[in-house]
Amino acid sequence: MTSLYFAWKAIWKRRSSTIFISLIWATGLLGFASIQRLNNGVSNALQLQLESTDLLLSAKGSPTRSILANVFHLNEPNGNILRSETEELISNYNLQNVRRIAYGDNYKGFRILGCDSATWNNINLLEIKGDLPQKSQDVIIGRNVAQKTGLKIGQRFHGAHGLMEHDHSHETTFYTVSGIIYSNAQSWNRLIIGSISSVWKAHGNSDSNYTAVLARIDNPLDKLLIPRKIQEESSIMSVSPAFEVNNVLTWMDQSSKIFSTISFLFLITAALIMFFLLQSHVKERLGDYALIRALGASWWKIAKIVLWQNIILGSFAILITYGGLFLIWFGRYTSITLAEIFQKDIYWDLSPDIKWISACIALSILTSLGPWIWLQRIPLHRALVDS
Amino acid sequence: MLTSSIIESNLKGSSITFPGITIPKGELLLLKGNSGIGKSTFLHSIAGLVPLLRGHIKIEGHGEISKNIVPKNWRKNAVTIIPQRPLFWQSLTVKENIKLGEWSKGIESENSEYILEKLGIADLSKKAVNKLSLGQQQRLSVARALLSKVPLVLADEPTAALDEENTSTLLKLFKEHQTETGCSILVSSHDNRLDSIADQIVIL
Repeated sequence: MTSLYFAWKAIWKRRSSTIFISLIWATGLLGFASIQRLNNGVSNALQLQLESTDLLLSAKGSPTRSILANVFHLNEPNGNILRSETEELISNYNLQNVRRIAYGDNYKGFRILGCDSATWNNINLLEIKGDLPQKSQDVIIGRNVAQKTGLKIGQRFHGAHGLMEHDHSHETTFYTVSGIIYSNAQSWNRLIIGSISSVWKAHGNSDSNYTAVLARIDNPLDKLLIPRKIQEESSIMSVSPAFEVNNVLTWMDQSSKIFSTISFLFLITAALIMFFLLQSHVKERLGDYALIRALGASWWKIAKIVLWQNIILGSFAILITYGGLFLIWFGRYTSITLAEIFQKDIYWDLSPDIKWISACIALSILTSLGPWIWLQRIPLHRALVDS
Repeated sequence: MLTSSIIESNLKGSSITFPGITIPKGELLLLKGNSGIGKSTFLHSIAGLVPLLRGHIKIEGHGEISKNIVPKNWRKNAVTIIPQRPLFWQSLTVKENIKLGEWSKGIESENSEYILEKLGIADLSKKAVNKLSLGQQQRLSVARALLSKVPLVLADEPTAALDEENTSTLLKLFKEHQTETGCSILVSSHDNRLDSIADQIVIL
């Protein structure tokens, strides 16, 4: 039998306080781990959407709204931009990977996005069932759209005007689902995507303008200059999404720091409570430790028992934390946005956890030192007589 | 062999002086005296659990205690103690408590079954110690001490909770253990039944 065995026996005898200490500890850890995952998930989601998007041309209005609408497909766009003026601007500057998009309709609240062929290459496809659109009214739908609406490959539907679910429908123009896609840039999974001409056709070709144009700029200096020049020279709003999103990330970083601080305080409180509980636990077991000391056990042997007890408590806390993370993982299905943020690869990347797991073990060792030093001072004679 | 000069034990705030004693190898010394005179403190001083203000305690081949300096591994290799009140880890069974004693001394005994059998508690090995009677606990405490083959056994009122039959078994076991290991035994007791097996009697 080893010190681990005797430590386990001692812990098992005090099951309720073991669970209590581990739960307090796990609460702090869970706060830490989930905020970390939220941060990484949001940053990753934003970065994926921003790939190859150094310039966004759209109708004048709120830049943030325009980014949300045309890059993240979350808000309503400011309006449309004239096709002729936009094409002229595009040709004047050194832009790469130019993508033209046009919004118009929705199906059961899911947006129908018209786009040019360059856009297909930016979808970050992980999986496609069926084919990309071949005919003019063919569309592909995102996985979330398929799940929520029940649309299947080959099925026809007609869109409703505007971006709201109950707007009047274009009953004369049908779209046909040619494929279902799954992208790791999550906003594509909740879109219906067809050719830009199909969107214009649904509106009777009366509205052949773009909603936005997105492009990549390779030259770092041009990344700063081109958006500013276009903004000054034309009636089209020109923004740098990366710059704006960086502001959002900075703000997010600040708020996550506040949450991390709160979690850290939780951890410190848990450590302090644990320290005092362990001390009272050691006091309670003074006779036990004095006995094995009187029987010939060295301080090191007693230290090992105390240390193992704390490591067992720490391990419980880690297990409970991962239990909590599992619950959050399953709970994310209740919200599309959460599901987008908590991506499997990011969520279950355990490498950032090494830090807090190490901190947890260090805390176990540190909290063992107090009772251990304190135990050295007990008068064994008194402890044996009084037990 | 144990040699103890006149010693003064430090009890934080008070001190007690004890006479010098010598217990040759294989002999049993019986320590008698009124309650509260300090018999347990004397045994604890020899076990190195109470610091000394003056004097020294020596066990041949294991060094000596002087003031508050106790040789390394004194209780592991030189002495074993049977406390006045049987003390165990209540969360463990009889067998586990025996193992705890062995683990504390860093030994692995081969005759634990034999000793438990002799003391009539072998069939209790899977029972939790807090379910044992005081007499059974006393016998278990003796068994735990006799598993180690140290040169000095300190027994503090070992028969206090034992009936006639178990006392007789215990005394036989003490003698058997002495013959087998050649150890010395220091017993503190009020029990006159122990007089017959004592090689020396010291009254405090």
